[in-house]
Amino acid sequence: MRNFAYSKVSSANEALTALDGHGQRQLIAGGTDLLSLMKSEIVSPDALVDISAWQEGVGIEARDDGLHIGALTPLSHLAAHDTIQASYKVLSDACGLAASPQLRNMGTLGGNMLQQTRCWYYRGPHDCWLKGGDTCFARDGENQHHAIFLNQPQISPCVSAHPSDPAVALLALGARVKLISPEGAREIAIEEWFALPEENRRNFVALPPNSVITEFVLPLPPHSTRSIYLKAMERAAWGFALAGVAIYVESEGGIIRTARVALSGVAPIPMRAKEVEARLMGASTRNIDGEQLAEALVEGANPLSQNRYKIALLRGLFSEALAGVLA
Amino acid sequence: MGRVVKTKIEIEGEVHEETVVVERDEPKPWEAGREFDIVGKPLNRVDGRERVTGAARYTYDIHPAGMLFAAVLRSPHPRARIKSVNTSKAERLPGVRAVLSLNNAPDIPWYAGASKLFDDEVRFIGDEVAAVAADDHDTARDALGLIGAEYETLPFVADIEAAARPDAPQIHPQGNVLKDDNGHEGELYSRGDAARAIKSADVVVECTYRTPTALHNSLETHGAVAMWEGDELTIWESTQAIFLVRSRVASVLNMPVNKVRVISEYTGGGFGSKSGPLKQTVIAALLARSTGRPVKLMLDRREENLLAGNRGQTIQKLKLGAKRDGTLVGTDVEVLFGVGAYGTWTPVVAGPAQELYKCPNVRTHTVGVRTNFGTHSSFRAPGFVEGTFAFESAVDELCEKLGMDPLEFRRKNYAPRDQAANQDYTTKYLLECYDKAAALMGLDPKATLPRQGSLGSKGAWRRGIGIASQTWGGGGGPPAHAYVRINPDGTVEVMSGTQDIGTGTKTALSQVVAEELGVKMKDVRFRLGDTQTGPYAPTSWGSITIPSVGPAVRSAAQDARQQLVDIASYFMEVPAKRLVVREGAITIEGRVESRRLIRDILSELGDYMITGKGFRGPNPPQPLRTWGAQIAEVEVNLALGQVRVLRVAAVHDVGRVINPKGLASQLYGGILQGMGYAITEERIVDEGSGSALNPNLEEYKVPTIMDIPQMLAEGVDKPDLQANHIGSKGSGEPPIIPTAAAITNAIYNAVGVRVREIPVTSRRLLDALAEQQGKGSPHA
Repeated sequence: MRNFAYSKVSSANEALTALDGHGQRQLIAGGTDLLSLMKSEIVSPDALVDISAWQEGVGIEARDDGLHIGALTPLSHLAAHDTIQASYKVLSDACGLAASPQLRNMGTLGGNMLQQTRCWYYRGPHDCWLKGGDTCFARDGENQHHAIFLNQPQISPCVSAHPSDPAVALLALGARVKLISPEGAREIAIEEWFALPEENRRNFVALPPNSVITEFVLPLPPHSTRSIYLKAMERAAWGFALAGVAIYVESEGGIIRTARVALSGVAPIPMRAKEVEARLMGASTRNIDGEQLAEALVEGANPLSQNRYKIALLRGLFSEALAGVLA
Repeated sequence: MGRVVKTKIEIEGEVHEETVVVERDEPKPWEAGREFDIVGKPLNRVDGRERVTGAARYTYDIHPAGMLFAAVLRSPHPRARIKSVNTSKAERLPGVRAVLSLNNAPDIPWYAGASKLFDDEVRFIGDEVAAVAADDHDTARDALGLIGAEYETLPFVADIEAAARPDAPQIHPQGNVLKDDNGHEGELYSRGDAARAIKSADVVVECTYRTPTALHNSLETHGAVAMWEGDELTIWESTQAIFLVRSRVASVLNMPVNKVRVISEYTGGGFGSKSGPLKQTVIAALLARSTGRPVKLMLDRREENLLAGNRGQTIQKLKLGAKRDGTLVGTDVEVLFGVGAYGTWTPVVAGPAQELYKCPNVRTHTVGVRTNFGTHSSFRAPGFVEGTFAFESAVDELCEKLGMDPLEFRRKNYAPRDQAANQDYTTKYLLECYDKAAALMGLDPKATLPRQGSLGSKGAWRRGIGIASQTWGGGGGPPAHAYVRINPDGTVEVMSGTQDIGTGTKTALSQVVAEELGVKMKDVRFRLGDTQTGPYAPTSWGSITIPSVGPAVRSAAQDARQQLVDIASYFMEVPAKRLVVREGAITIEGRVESRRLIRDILSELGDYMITGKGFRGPNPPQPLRTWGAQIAEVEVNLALGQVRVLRVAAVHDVGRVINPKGLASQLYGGILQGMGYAITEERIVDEGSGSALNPNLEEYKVPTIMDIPQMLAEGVDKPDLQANHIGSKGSGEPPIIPTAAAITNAIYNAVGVRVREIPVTSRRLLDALAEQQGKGSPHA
């Protein structure tokens, strides 16, 4: 780990001030991802701004416009929270399946939205495209864990799969992200948060410089909503998603009014399956051909040399998730 | 004066003849059915509290005053010639105390002379280039970044099949393929005429199995702290082999062994990888000598997984032939085994195919091949784990083709004697293992296993059951020594230069001493892991510790007990043979009122201390084997390719059980490690760059607590009194041997698809299911 300057702040506004200065400055909260990146010198900021002491950053509060979740709220709180378990189950599912208990206690929801890829070429000593090199070694290399969607060279020069579980839960819930930057406060849909990497922006988030996430807002759900997150791992716990499926449905009189389906572990960024959502909307909950929808879900998949199995896996996971959410 | 005799000792599948000293008559065997006070009782670990509270001092915890921290610059190339190493910038960094590289290191041969401590050619990513000692760990790491090393990259080879071809880059002058003593490639074993037997067999299976490179991932990484006091060197090392570390370090540093002391009171796991010093031990000693300060050099997790040993990758081609009635008539096995960059030996991968069942015609050929990766090492039953997976899977295929129950096949082809040595076994209770394991699973012991697909399904989940058997050595042998001291207050100290690498050695051996001596467990303090205080005991590998050191400590306890009753006889005024020692007191046989505490007798002698001396006698001429059977029940999700191991019954014949709780914990550990090998653990390499991609704990997936199945683990618990006088054999390695095949056979039983490469991940299972359905892929 390289040497770095360190300062501690107690509010988001203080953080904004502290981030304004020379050199590469980076926020740290739980540090579950950043510290390991720094230890392996993949990321070497000149200064860390520690925001973990910002008390108002932690909390879950129901207000008129929805459920507000502080950016520093640890995943373990979200996994165990009554309201979330009852009304936003996809999020408690996702947070409960993420990482391990220790990591869930430290890792924050805000930090999780900035989680870096787990691609072993990126995490290892390879000078890969994402780290500023010329080549994505996974494209023709060891890619069993990698993306089957949005991985064509003209779409994304990096074929890694996005590892976040909570991110797809937030996508399925239609969450909004509140952030502040030197330009002021703003609010964006979680959809706009993630962006495929580009030549001049080699990461997965289109974030204005020196921004600080302050909170997430989940819209108030109508009464008859159901949601679920299922995840396939290589062992029973502490594994990144080989594939994950988040489904959210609102129904009325047995007819699905709104549906959102989001996928983890299969594309460089968390991905909505809009075609499947469109087919779900207006359908009768008792009369859905899950198999046909699963086929539609994997249409357009572009498996790499070692990850064709993810097509079958995703189909199976989606069918199970759909059955679960409609049960 | 003793006598000198020759005896056979088996370690990890290799039998050696050794010349040993028999110091005096050995104690009489503890006969079968004997009632014990302490042996055979499920006691907690004597050092459990220290271990779980953090009070136990591992090598990582050692911190002598003034200690420096060392770090090693490692090759970023799979193969290169080092043109130059410039260390001047690193030397000028404040806090740096010494830098070692091929510019200034002594010329110390390494890897059996194939390389040096610092060589001008590096042969894998992770090979040593230079080392730094600094005031703190971060400064040492920073200094590594200031070392300028210039490399000329050389052609390398990553794949074991490619490496075995003559046109591959040869990474050593003697070639990539290991040769036997006669210069032949690989090791050939043959009895009868396997080719002919298979040709004329009624039923033949021919199949290829592949196993991954597996990593030990001991919780405590390899490492050492070296400290000089004058011309004497003390090394704390996380090791399974304090005496081997002592002799090797003394040898390469040109020192007499009595000036090197090696200490390892607690070792955070070894699993075979810590069976001798690695380079960092010597590097730490050299840096400590040149700086005049203690130096600590521990590997980090990445280094551990790149260079501290592994279970080599295998490709195994098997042909089995049987008569229509299920009699096994011919076995042919061809093994390719990856030994890494500097491997000099090949484990006995074909051992199970040679020994497990009765078969008159067997041919095996095992070829070790070098590639540009870290060198393999012993890993918990090296060879037999890989070989049993393939052989027991092939046997399952044969049973399927014969339409024969796997349990029935195994009973029918039971081998009553050792076919290679043409000798009877001392004991063999494998049939009891089958019966007991079946009973533990709730099966009728004499019945057959449920047929493929018969265990039913629930949604996408299918249930299956599978079995595999195991043989292994574990008989131990001499030399092994111990002292037992009875203090004037009646407390006891046992000294032996053995190691407790987490297996419960200290507890089980204390039970042996307390039993033989007639004292309470709480009065026994076992001191091990120190070459200065303990007499010689062997490396803790090959499941030899209990059967080697156990008889030695009993022999020492018997010697001490004899001295004690001789003394008591004077004060109690009866012949020594009429005295009984039990629970720390001495009683004249049949006279309860005569009871006197040991300390009361010894107090008559002031500060007199009894010292008993014990040794391990020779082995019998017969082969000493351990046996076992495991039955696994799994649930497999056809849609997700997911495997859940639900239950594993493990019953092993390891002779007398000293501590059932200790045995169960060995069996649990073996099952879990075997389960990881079967379904999750695998080193992934990028062949283009010759690099390992997952030398860490997040992507090299050992099972977690959430993966643990229900485990029903027991010993047969029948003493082998020909093996040694305590009747016990080793249990460290046997339990990992059959697990993978039991699980993969259960997966087949559940879904009817055979995955011939482990680990059986979602990817492999879904690919195999797709292939079987003839779809190739739904979107091909």
